[in-house]
Amino acid sequence: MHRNQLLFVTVLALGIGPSCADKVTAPPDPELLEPPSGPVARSARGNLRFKGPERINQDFAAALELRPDAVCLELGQYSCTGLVHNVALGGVDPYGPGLYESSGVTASTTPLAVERVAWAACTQRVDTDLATPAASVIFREVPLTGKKLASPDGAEVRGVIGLLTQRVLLRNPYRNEVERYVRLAKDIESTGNAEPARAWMQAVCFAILTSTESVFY
Amino acid sequence: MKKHTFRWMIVSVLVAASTDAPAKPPAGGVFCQKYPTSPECMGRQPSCTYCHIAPPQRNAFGTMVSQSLLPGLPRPLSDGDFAAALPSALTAVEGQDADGDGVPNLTEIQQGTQPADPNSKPLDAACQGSDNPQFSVCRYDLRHAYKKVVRDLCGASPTFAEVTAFAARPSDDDRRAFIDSEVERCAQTEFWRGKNGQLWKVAHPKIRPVGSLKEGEDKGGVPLADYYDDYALFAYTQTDDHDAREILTADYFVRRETSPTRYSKVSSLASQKVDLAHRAGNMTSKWSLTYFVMFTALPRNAAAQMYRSYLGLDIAKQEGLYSVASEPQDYDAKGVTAKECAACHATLDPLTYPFRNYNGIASSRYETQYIPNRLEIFFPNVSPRITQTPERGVIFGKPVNDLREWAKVAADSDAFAISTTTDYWKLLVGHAPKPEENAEFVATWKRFKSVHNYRVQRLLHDIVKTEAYGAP
Repeated sequence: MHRNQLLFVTVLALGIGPSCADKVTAPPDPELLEPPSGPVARSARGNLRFKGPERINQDFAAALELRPDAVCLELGQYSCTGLVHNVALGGVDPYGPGLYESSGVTASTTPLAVERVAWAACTQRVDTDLATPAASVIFREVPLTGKKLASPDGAEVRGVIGLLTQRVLLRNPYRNEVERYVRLAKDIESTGNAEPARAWMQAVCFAILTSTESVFY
Repeated sequence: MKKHTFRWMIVSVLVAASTDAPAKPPAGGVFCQKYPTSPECMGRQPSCTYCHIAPPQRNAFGTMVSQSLLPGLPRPLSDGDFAAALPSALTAVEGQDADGDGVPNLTEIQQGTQPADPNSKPLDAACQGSDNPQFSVCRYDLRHAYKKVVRDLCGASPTFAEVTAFAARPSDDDRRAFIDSEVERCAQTEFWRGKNGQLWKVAHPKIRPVGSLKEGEDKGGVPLADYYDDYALFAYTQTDDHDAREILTADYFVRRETSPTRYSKVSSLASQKVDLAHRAGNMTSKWSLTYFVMFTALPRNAAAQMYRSYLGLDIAKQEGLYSVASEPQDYDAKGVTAKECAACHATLDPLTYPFRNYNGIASSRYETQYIPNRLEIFFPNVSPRITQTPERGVIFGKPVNDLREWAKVAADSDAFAISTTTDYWKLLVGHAPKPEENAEFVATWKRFKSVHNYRVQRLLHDIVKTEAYGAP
């Protein structure tokens, strides 16, 4: 190999290898918001809109860094939001049954479909993060003791709660939200779950993704 | 009294009442002369259901008005007597509350709510409570509007970092300018203009596709016409600096290319058959003529669908009735001169005549094109007078010589501007304009027509700037 070629290959190898900047670090302890002390001002218009299939899929994918076409697939191949649960999530189906317009209201099966999509997205993210900690996206550097969280109220856990809140709800978490999700970790552990760390990660992700604030705007 | 005799009496009273109390087509016009600032009269007229459950049966408000309308005079009243007496009858019931919702009839008329519907009344929009750390609930909230714009037009939420950066912008003017730039950016996305994107969703109820009849891309089992051409013209007229009216008036076609989606104007398409001299936008597309004209001599369905889709006037709901004297003529002998039919057909039939030469499903040589003397050639035996059907018609009381003139009058009407603005209002705000939003809505459609010269992309900016959109 010529010297120039060798130099080129070396540069390439260095370029695609892990660098110091790529090292996965735990999310920082979030800046906490103080919950309001009394009732907040109510909206006079009350014009809350359900996100619908496309936005839910895109938002879950972006928040958890999943491929939009793989957020949720029934039987591993049929898109939950684009096909199987599209109408339940407020979509239209104009070419077949002639459903030209969305009903405009959420149906009795809509919450089930939202939860189906959120669960698929969260379990994917948790599985991937636990399987490849060096490339984890959300549950980064969360110390474990066996299958348990080493420190349910540690800074890393609070950091994960903060990161999820920022990515899904586009704000920092309230102090009482963090306390609630920390308590959730302890509650799960007390149930005797065989993998309490994984179960907490799935649960906190699911709780935030399916919150009213996440699926309505 | 025997039971069956009593039943007959009830039936007789109902029949007598129904024959003596037909809906009066002049009512809408007279109402709007008396209450020109009512939201019901902003570019339209109240439909028959304002006073009727279904004509001739009256609702609570209609019943109240009728009791004050020349009491004692024999029914039915002539149209002249009715029109002359209606204003004072309306005045007489202004202070009353027909639906018992606590709001007087006059207030409901002025606010645009329904005086016969207790669930329809002006909203008390006063702000309640103290503070709200996340939203400015009593006024336009720029942060809220920014997130909504990105979600509505781009199809996904902004990131936390983007929201933080938005809040850190130096001034509200800068934030407003940034929202404007986001509207422009998002209007270029596939989510907005691509296949099955938001514009296509607006078009679905107008085009009414049927997958099994689809020709070309995504071909169905019985391919008859390619309605993607209709979506292409629709999307083209609603984007960039194009005139939305050309959805009705275009004498050209639009080709769609993909990855990324682009729409371009062309003078012919292999999938379309109407010649340019007789083309009137999507009203004369191969799909419209296939699906809405089909095999019909006088395709009332086609006229009614265009009236509904592009002008927002549903004749089946007694909307947009502008009766033409001496109509309906009933050239195809369908019995539409019967009293129960004539109230709507006096408007619908003259709307339909300009379609007389547009052929629907036929052999490939004659299908979906303009054929002079079509009725004489293909439908001479439908009825004795069918060939007397004129091509001249009437829309909004204006005579038109052919479908292209029909399209021009329709496209220049307030109804078209209102219907188009309503489409995007519903898409972005999330519902049809509510009474408390009426002032903003009227200002918006008027600007769409005058200032923006029917450019939808500019309309989007206006809607985004309304309190209805940006106040949480």
